[in-house]
Amino acid sequence: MFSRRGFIQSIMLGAASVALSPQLLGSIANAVANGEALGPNGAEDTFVEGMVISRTGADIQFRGPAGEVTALNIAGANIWRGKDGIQMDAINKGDYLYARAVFINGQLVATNLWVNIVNVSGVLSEGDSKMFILEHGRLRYSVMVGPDAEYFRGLEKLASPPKLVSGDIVQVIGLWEGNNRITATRVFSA
Amino acid sequence: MAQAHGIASWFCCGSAWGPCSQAGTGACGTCQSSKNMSAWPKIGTSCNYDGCGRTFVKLSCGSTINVKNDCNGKNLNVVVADCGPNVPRFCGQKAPDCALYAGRIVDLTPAAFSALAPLSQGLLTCVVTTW
Repeated sequence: MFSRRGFIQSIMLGAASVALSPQLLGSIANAVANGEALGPNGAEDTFVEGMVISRTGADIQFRGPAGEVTALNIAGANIWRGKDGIQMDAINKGDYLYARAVFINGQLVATNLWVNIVNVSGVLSEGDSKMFILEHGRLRYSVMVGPDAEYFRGLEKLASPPKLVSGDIVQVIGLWEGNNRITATRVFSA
Repeated sequence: MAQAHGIASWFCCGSAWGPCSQAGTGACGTCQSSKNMSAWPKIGTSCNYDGCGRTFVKLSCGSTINVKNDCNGKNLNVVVADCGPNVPRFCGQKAPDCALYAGRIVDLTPAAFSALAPLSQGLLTCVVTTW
């Protein structure tokens, strides 16, 4: 995850491919020069969420849960969409985003972005370690485990998929594909 | 003041997207993914997920607790807004970070969890302080 300090420093060092206005870059430079409070908790950063309604280059507009439309610049953000480091072109209208962002010169600038991410736990009712049905109350999710997915049992990261059977408690981090389908990127089992 | 050591995960509530579309606003009727909120395993009279040898402090909807990521030191206050997690289901669970403790004790909204660790991590090692 990018910290605000790291994000700003990466911009200053040219490590991030960004398209920010000269005014915005000036504000970032001032923030660094002034040692602007970048506390350990990133207290001045904020969380936003919503559905993408448009994207033009690095500028996104999204609609939040209350219906408000917000502009967000994602030029320097770490983007997760099944894995970290995804290019902004992978973000489309209709995607749902969670983001950490900072206000710089009045503009909301994302540092970290998670697209269509879900976290679901439940009881495995059918299937095996690669494809299974996860029941959470009366909800049923069809889970396909992605090719690069990581499996964990307790703390241990497993080198190969564990044997999962009906009745196992399973937690999945993954990509929401719609229609109760999930592509898992992390699978936690007891 | 009491402290509990264990694992935190995240859940969504209050917004109508994907698996959250049927999540509603939680047991307290106030839960919103975009606010710094949490589920706690023991609220009022009908929510009690004591288990795994743990007896949790009983809290009320609207209580404030502090959750600290004990691997990186980040912490924040969150408002209790839902019942959970189902602690007995996750007794031995550890987070794929510094893994100091085992067992799920609290779930956080995306807003709260992402202030402490990446959402894609899924779990984090934490200390919860209640008053």
